[in-house]
Amino acid sequence: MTYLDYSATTPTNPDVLKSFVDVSNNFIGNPNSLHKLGVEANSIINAATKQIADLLHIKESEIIYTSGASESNNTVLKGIASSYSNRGKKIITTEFEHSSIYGPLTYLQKQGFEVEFVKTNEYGVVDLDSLKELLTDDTILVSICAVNSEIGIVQPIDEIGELLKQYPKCYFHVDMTQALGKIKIDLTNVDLASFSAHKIYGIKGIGLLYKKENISLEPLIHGGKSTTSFRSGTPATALIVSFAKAMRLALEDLDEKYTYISNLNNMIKENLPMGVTINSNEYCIPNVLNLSIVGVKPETMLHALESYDIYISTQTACSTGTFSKSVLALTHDMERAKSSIRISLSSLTTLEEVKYFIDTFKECVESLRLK
Amino acid sequence: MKLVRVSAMWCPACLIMRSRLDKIALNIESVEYDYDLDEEVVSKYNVGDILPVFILFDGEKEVGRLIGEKNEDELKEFLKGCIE
Repeated sequence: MTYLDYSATTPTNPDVLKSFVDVSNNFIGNPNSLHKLGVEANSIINAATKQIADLLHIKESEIIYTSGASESNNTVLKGIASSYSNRGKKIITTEFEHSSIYGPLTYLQKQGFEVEFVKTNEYGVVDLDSLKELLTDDTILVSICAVNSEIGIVQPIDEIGELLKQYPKCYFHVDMTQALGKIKIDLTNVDLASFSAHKIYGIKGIGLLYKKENISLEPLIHGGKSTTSFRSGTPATALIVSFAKAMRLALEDLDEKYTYISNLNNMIKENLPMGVTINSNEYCIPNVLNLSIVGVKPETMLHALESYDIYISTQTACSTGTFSKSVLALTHDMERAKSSIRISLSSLTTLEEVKYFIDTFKECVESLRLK
Repeated sequence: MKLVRVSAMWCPACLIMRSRLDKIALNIESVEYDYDLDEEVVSKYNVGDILPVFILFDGEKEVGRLIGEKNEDELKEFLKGCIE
């Protein structure tokens, strides 16, 4: 099997899975129970939380565990809107977000909130002047993903955060889902951030919301204290511990992994068949390579490659419709948006796999073009 | 006259067009259907790949259709005669 869909999800690291199984077997108590088994479970959660806090250079009290980034995103948007609607009703975002940002924004827009889209340049990067123009006294939140999931565009998070310091009534949320374990992350200028374990070889079903202290947030799930009061539900001890392990491993040798993946990415780009357009650009992470094969339906290409045991994506796994909204926003070309595929690489991807993909892709493009 | 709108939660152009429409005072009835949640109703309107879709009806007869993201002037032109 040649798996080239690492941005959709990653295989669980065996060590991460082992930590999940060990903790599930050995820490059976409810962490909120007062007896010894509960105290032990609570203690191992606290140790994992400290490890995550150290890795992200944040405080333990700033971590809220969720079921994944979609829940983190929903919690931020609905929670900030609910807590700060007295200040204003404007929220600013981009055209390169995940559907778990657009979903709650649609909900909020129907409740009377104003949603504005910041302009981006020809590479899909946020235009800071446009952001300045949009920011007003009634802006309560700016939500921008660090890395776009379909094309891989990296946004200037530090610069945006620096600009937003001049607007103390406006909070800055960053969806870090596709950035963690791929590029360096700095939360200094960020108020809220979403993370997911399954994108970094962790287990599906656990995510994290970073929330700076002193920010009020109406919970999405009410019901009393869990690890924090901002998200109720019995703390998922084994998932939390395994997430900490996955994060530690994902952040190891980041530069080496980046260089290795860049080389694989370049190798594919240098060997593309005629007529294939590259949508990803120099502002994108090397892990994602978005391509358009005009005249070939993406799902046809996906299944053609699947018949050779190669697995890629059309748009993102979390969207619907028949074209890539991100590619359309970047290129303003519906034909490219309708024919785009996403190849996503990892440090686990081998040179042999890339060579196999290059040869097979050429064959598939030629045969599908003839039809 | 009646305006039927088909949009989806995952669609940024739908957010943009809803925002533009909110700034216009319509003098006709306007209903919005969700592409995924109201699948049965939406299937009657022959909606294609691109959202949102704005359809103007005069009684039962379709008299106009606007597809995708359009600027404020294009939207106003489409709704000419339906604005207060």
